Amino acid sequence: MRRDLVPKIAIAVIASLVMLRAATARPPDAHKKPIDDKIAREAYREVTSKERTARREAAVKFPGDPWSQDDDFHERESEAVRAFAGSKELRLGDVVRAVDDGMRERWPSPITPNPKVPPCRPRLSY
Amino acid sequence: MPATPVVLSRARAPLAVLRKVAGSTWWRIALFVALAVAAKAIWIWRAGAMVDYRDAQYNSLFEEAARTSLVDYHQLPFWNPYYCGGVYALGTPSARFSSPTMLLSIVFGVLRASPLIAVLACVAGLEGTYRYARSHGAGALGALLAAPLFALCGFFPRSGSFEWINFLGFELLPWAALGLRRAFMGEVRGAVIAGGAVGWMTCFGGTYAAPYTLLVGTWELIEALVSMRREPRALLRGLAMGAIAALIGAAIAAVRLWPIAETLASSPRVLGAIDSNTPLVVAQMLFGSKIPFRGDFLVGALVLPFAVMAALERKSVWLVAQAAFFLWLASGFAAKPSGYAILRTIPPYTMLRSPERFLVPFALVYAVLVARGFGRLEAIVRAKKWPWAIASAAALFAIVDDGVLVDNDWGWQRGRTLMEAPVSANRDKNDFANARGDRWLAAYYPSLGRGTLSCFDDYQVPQSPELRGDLPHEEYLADQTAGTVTRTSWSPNAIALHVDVKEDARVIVNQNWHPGWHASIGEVVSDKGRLAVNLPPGANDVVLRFMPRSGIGGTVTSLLAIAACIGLWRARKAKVGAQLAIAIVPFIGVASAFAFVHEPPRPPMALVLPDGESIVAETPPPGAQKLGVKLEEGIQLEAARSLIRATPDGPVLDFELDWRLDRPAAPGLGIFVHFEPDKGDTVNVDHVALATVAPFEAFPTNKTLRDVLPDIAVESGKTYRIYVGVWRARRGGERLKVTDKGNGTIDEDRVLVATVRAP
Repeated sequence: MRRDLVPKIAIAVIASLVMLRAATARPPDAHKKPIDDKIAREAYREVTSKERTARREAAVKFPGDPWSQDDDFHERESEAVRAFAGSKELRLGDVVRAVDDGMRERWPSPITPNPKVPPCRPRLSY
Repeated sequence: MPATPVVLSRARAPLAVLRKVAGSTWWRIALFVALAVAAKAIWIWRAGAMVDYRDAQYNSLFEEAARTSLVDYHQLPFWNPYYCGGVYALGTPSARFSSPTMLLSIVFGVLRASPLIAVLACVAGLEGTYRYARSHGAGALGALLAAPLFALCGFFPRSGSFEWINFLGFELLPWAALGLRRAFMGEVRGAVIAGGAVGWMTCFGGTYAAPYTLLVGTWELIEALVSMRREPRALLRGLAMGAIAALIGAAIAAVRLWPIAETLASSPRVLGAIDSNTPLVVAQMLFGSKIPFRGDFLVGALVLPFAVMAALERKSVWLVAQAAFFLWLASGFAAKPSGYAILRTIPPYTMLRSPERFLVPFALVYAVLVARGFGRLEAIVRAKKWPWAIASAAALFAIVDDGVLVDNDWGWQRGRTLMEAPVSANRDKNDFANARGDRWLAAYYPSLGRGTLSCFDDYQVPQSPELRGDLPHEEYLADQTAGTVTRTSWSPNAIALHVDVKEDARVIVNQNWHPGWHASIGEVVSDKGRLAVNLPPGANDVVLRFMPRSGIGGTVTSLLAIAACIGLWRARKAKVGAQLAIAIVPFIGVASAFAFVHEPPRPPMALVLPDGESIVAETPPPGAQKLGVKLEEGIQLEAARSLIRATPDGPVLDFELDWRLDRPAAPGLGIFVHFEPDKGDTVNVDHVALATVAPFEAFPTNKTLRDVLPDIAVESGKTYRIYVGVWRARRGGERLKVTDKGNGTIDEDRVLVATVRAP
């Protein structure tokens, strides 16, 4: 038993250090600004204004496949959300929330976004 | 002292130290812990960051949704309301929350727990490989040096870098193999180890790990059958222990296996990739092609000579055969004949892709061969009295190879693009709504108290197309004038409403229906796939609860199985009959669930078009051009219809193919549609599900089957020739031959169904 004490202590020390670091490591971009109502509305307008073009491009890319079209559109939408958050140094989650709030509360936008999605029908291969 | 003996004694000393470390369980584990931490150091250092990769979004969401249910709502994570409009959490194949590692996610948070899980999995893989190699006759030192070949194989850092944490369950593969090996030798504890490992990896989202383990187990079984063929009593006992391992594994996994089986039975996973890996590609994945060595399944080439040395031994025949078998499978459709193609016809392998993943079990066999090869070298050095420096140099080679694997791990970790993690806001726990969402940012929704309707998973998620992301209230009356609905409380598995209606009324909840939902008053129904409840008139407080039979029965079975494991571990000297009885007891949970938990049957799949018309008709619709082209497998393309129309966003084509089956369709078929423009690239509109609803095999014979594909976007000014055919999309990819061209124009077993010009 005494012979095993050293490796057991070594394991405990290593495990403690690892857990300490995992608990305290600072993730990237942890200090971004919170969003205010005016910027939130701007975010909604900016992100949704591209919907029509993005959906048409997706429809050409994935003809006859409603889920893939919608998914492609959402990829483009996510890029718009990231770009807006990045340009204003905002938290990504806040911009995500702004898009949802805007749709739910019918904030003004050049486009009325489609509130539905087609059921998930993944393609045969990726 | 003469020079040579000094060199010899010095060369021998490090080996003696390493051998001592290998032989002492705690020193060995300490070494493995240090190695695992070193290998995952960058990941640990950056703990808490989100990997900028699409799959990381939903993998993190599954875990976070379960964590939220447990921590915030004190409920078991049965229903996940945050994804696709609500999905059966236990029935989500790749979710990992039903494993003991969930404790780490609860304590540290999902993203911070990931590297800790990776370290634990790696240590488990190292120790498991060491023990498995020893069970194959490898020496302690060889097993110690070879263990990283599996546990640090390139597959694991690659999976980690994509946040495919559930794939780390493969690290339990050597434990399952070791357990089965011991079980077939008659040890009940081996059966418990094997069953425990398989159960754990299944609960950890082991969609690939568990079926692959079955193949490794089959090899162990064959070896046992051959080696014990002259000892019928021992063989019978071994088989009984194998049965116990299977029972325990299934019982532990029941909490996931049953719900997943239910989910995939009603919403199959349709995969059609014709994956091929040439020998060169396989070699590059295993050994890398240039310095620094990188590989998706890197095991390293420096120790290859040891594997070859072991392979030349007669007693390694089983290992060599296994290695060849997994290499054969890993080459996918490139091998002729293709073992992978054959395997893809057998459930559950029909639903698996990426044959290169068979290099994971190969890596285990490779590690064992290397371990044995090193032992053989040691034996030769000892027998022929060669200088021990040879063995030391060989050990150094193995250590360098292990270092290459650590470096590959770091390479994958450095290669990750990281992004900010979702931040949990202080929010009202009763505030939940479905947003239209975005699966590419899915992980950000639960922390906002939102679900994302936009989603992806590898199977056809049972999801209502009627769900909306813009509702002022998530629960509402189908007839808005009938009265009022007020949410009084919300949690993932229970929604409480106060409903005041003047007459019989239907309350619709903006989530997906599942037969596991029950109501305290009224009757739960599916309203176009949405959760709904029919209520009597009056003021009622109604509670909707998600209590799925498979979830409850599976949970009870799994808990009983853990108790059975303890019982079997202690009853290792009991009679086989008693041990079998203990292994069967947990299935009382399944029987009880059937007896006591009522659940309505799932309605059959509605074979209807989006406009509600039936896909199955007596004849093609008016205006369809008759073709009458017959193909193999009794399939006929009766007619086709195409109509170009202009929309504000550009021209679209409404397209319909009318099929007829002379006999029940063979499984695995798909329809290919090639739009060949006069300029530019061909556009494929290939699909398996007719009208995006169901594949050929779901439809009756001798009826017209309307494969309607509306709103196909085409480019202005282009003329398209549209070719159609049927291929073995989920098998080898061959086209079905045209046997009777009817009125069609045929080109390479494709039917020219229309030539259209977009305005």
